[in-house]
Amino acid sequence: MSQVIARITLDEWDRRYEQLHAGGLREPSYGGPLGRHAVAGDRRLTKLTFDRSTAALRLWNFLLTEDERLAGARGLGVKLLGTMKDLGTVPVMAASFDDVVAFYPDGAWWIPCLMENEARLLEIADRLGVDESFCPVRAMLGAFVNQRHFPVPDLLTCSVGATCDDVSAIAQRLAGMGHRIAWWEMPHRRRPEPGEETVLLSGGFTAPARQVEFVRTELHRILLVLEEWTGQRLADERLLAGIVRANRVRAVLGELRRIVYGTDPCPMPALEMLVAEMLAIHFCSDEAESLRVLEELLVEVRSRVESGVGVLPAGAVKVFWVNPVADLRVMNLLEDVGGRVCGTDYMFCHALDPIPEDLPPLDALARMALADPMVGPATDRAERIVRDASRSGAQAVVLSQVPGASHCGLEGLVIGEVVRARLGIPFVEIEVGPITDSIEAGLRTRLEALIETVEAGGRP
Amino acid sequence: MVAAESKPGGSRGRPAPVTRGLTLAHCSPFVPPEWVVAHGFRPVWLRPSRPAAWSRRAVCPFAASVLDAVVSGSPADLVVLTTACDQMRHAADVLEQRRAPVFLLNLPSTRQTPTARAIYGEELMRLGRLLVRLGGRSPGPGELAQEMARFDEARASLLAARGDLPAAVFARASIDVRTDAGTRVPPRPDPRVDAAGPRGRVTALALAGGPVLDEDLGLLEWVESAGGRFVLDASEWGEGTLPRPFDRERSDGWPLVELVDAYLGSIPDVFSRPNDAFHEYFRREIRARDVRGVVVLRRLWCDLWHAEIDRLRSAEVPVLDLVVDPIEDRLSGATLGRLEALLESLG
Repeated sequence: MSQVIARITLDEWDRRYEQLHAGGLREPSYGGPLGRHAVAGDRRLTKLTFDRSTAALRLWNFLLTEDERLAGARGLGVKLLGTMKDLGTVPVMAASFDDVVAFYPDGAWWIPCLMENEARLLEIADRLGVDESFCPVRAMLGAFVNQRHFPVPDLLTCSVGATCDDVSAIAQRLAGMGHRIAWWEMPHRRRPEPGEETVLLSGGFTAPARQVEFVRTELHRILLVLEEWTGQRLADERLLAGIVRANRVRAVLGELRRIVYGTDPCPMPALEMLVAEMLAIHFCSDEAESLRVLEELLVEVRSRVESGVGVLPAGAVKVFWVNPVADLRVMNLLEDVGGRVCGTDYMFCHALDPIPEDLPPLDALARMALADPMVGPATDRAERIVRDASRSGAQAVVLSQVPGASHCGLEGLVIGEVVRARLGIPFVEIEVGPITDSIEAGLRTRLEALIETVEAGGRP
Repeated sequence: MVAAESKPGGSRGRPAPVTRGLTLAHCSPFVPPEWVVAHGFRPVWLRPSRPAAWSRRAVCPFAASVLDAVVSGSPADLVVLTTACDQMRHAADVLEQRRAPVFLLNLPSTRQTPTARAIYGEELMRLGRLLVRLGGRSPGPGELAQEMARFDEARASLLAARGDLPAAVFARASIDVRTDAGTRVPPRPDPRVDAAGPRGRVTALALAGGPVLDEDLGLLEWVESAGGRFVLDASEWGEGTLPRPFDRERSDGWPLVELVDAYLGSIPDVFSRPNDAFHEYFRREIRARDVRGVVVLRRLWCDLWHAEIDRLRSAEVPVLDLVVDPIEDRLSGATLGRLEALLESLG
């Protein structure tokens, strides 16, 4: 029987941290005990269980100090760029400039969870008329108003068109409040017509060459905005170098995902993997450090696999997970009931795929942006889920609905139909808001039923 | 989309004879009827009633009602939806999944860039090619310009008569004029238009929000019978989303360019990014028509209208935000009470 390295609580981590520290633990500047984040307001941490490796410690500290990093950058005169609804495209461009840091204001959607709503961001949004009929990304509006969670960026970009209405609507409110936004068009990715010149994209998608050209033109427009804003010129060579660096992050993350999702027993918890995947979108405001964080996780995972140890018992039910959860606790919950994540579509698969390095850089970025599973037909996204879930040997698929999200209601329906028809494995939808305590029993029951159904060899 | 394109028809040589009665159903102000008619199709406006089967949490009731209408038996040879909002974009996915004859028209959110115009123009051409394949025809020389002139005239006639018409009649006519250039301006049927309210005065109101369906018309009639008068219809299917008059010289020379410019470039749409043009239009017309109050009629789960309510309030007249719930009766006591309170407070 393989050895299981159980997840530990925050208190247990802090006691472990003391021991490690006393033993000479070396950490980056943002290191420290995780408990300090809970004291500072991230109270949800007290309800989570964590991987006990120092690699995971570094990952969490890196994630939870992003605001400090941004404030520090501003203090040094670095320009801050907020890239809204852009999962991995403009941040690659921004990271190619000197003295520019891009971040993802939409990421504020996790603040109500992490701070257990203590920050009152949702209440601020309520007061501005953006109520719970919107998805939790409305916390971003509150964060812009109270200015306590990230510095207000010097410039914002926002991808619109085939994107979710929630972010588009809230971004428009921000524009109305005087924030400068450079909008760029992301057309709905359509299937090429017969005889139309076609481009193969990552993820197995195709698009008409003309659509790639449209997106490239839009990205060029944004590039000019950034050049004017920074006073720098971004030649193709510099942008290509930026793409190569981004690909390094994606490659390490890709290897991490391959090993973790494909190994039994599972060598890294789903929660830490969710956080790790998020680094690919915008590098958590420090590209070089995000690479080091991922590399350390990879070392830890390889070591565990070589030793035959895991964080869950061997044979845990393999679940393919669709959409990120607004409450991080739910990733713990899946593992508590005997499941494990074997593959994911957290809405940004395209940001995990390598960006072509043998094309003109803007063309490569345009292709990557168009490969976003969310900008094309839901059936395309469903087909990728089927392929990835099948390849990973998934025994069940969980689709986590984002409450209030404009795309979830109908998209979930299409994905469910395709997955059931093509994979013939159990598929369940759950809805996960920022704090699930009041519905945890119900969620647990649904996930337990799913796991039991798989173990019994049937369909729900 | 596959199902729509599977129907054979048309030819590459001489214009194919048009099959009688080919219809295209849609519900977007950005699908130019001139273009549809010039391709040998008859536009039909989708005016679905309240949803039943497709009601689902987080699904816009309007999108659900469109699904109901199409899935229960396609109302036309082709249904065209647009990417104006995420909900309709995904409704097209559902229809495609069910092999309904649907075409999703990529409507750019950004409107003023050359890319946006190119996308829209090429989408119209893509639609045109599909219509030909389905049995329509390529417009001959001057044919598009001719249709543009006909619809332009019909719209101008309607707008000229606007002040005489009750809101519900005008709302219907605003739809009719988008499907039939032969639409006659409705007679002025209702003496209530000039009727004063209980206090002997008429209160000028503006209407804003999502599509006004047939079942919403009773609400407009009730308001006007209670002393209100809608002098501006800035709702999604209202006068604000009719295109500007065409430039005849450009229509004759480069009709498609003029069509794109008039539709994409002139319609002040709340969904566009940025949508300053809509708010400028709204404020300008509020002032010009001496509007004293605004009624917003919006669907539950429609984020794009919902988020604009606060900004509509900056027009400095009272705004009544009515959320249309598919379950709730439009003329419920609570709704009428709120409307009554608005009218009373405006005196």
